[in-house]
Amino acid sequence: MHPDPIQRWLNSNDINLNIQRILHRYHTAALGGPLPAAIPLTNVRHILNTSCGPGDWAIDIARTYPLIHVTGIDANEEEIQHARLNAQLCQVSERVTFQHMPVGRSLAFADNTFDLIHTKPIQQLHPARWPFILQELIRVLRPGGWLNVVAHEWGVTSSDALNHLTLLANHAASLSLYRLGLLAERPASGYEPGVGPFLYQFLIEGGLIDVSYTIHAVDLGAFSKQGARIYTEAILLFLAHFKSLVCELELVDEYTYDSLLRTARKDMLYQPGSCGFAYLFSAHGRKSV
Amino acid sequence: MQQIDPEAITMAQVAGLRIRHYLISREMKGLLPPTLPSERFQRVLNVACGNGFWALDFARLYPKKHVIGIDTRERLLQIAREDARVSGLKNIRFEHFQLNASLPYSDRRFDLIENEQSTTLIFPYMWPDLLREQMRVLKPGGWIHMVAFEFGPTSSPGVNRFMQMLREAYAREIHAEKSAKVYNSAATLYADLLYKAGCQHVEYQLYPMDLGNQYSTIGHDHLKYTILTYPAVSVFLLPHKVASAEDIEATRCAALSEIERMDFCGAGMVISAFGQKP
Repeated sequence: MHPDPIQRWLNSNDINLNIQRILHRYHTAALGGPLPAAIPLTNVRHILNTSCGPGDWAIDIARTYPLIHVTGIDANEEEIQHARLNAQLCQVSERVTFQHMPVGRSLAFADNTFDLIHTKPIQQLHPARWPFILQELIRVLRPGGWLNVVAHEWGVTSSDALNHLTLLANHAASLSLYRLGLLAERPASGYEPGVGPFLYQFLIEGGLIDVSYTIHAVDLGAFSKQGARIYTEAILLFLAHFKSLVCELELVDEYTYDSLLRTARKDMLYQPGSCGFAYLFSAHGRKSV
Repeated sequence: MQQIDPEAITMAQVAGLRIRHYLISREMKGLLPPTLPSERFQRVLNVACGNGFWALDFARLYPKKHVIGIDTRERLLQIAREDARVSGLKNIRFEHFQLNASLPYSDRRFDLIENEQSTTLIFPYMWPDLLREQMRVLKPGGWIHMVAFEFGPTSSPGVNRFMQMLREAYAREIHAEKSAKVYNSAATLYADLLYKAGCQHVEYQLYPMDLGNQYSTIGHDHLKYTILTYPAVSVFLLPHKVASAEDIEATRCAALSEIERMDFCGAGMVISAFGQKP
């Protein structure tokens, strides 16, 4: 690695990180801000951000609110390093710390530590595993503190090829969970929603109070809308990552997958009438005092 | 379009159409996209008007403008005419038409053509012909507006499976192959269809919609009525053999009880697209 952090930053060419950063920007715009308006930030001193990725959310918060400390955790060591670098470059590293820590297991924090927790689901986790994760998050949340979870769900688009790709990626993800023994039943070939629509139920079952949610549209009309263009490019790169998994599971062959990617790209970026959307579910609730 | 037996239209369906219309106009905060010059529209045509909720609302809102609603289903038109009579509206008319025939109007007659569909049984492959006819009867500078509703993911396995059946039947209908699984919503194609019909200034707007039990009952009611009025889509679900009649019925019952859970959550999207005739 290059000794100069800025050079290291410029040299880094990790597509996955860039995708995450683009998704973060666009999702925050679709949500209307980093946190739901219903969550007050008075008396919030310390925030936990799980699945923080390259740290954009944590850094955004630290830059906007100069009295708040944020702890970001992620299972990916490399992303944590990028997040630290990112915080240094934004000159907030005194108030933002990042730790390498997987969710899905016990968190290395004491009970009632954080005033607020913001998280997003991880692709590799099936909705059925969420109640345990939430239980752990609620444990480290102080009484009266808010928990906010944001989840992305696929919608539909004007491109048959893109709809097919999202279906394949969705199916491949649930099939691989089944193979790992994390799903009892072999998933049917149709679309299987992620955790998004279950968040409301899970937060209530987790014992939180004042539970509520909002639903947001992420516009994928890449021809007519500038922001959507970059986002759709990122989505296509994200789907390109699924090729090996989809082909390994023999859902389609590589040639078919590649041609679907090409067609989806053409449909969404070069067709004047391209249209499409994804959903964002943002759910929040408060730990009772 | 699969012809529905007019007698099969139930009051539940009529109520479902009313909820659908209120849902769409509430989300759009009006009957038309805010950027359209509504004041300039003198003659308005509402295609596939169903029982005429959109047309009646428009006629009430603008007593000086003339609205014609057309539909293939005489039973629904009777309800619409009765509503117009009771409301004392003189600026509205409902007429019967055949979907595959040309529109019974002269060229360049209307300022606005509204397609707030009261049916989901107009498939993408039917639109080019329908829009060609609509462009013919539209004045230069007139607008076409198309709006539809799309169901998204929910926390009810029954609802998800029911929607999956509808999508599969839909995919089979539009792809004309029995193995087709990929669903393409008609609504996301509206902008493209308007471009291809020769419109300019084509745009679309998205309005995300809560179908859950949280605050609003209208999205939730819309979902409920869609599942309840399933006999109307049975003419569509069964011929495509996506599932057996018993399976469909069991799924429908599961869905109807699951959406009554107090922690039920679900999403949908209103898609509104519009374009102008050059």
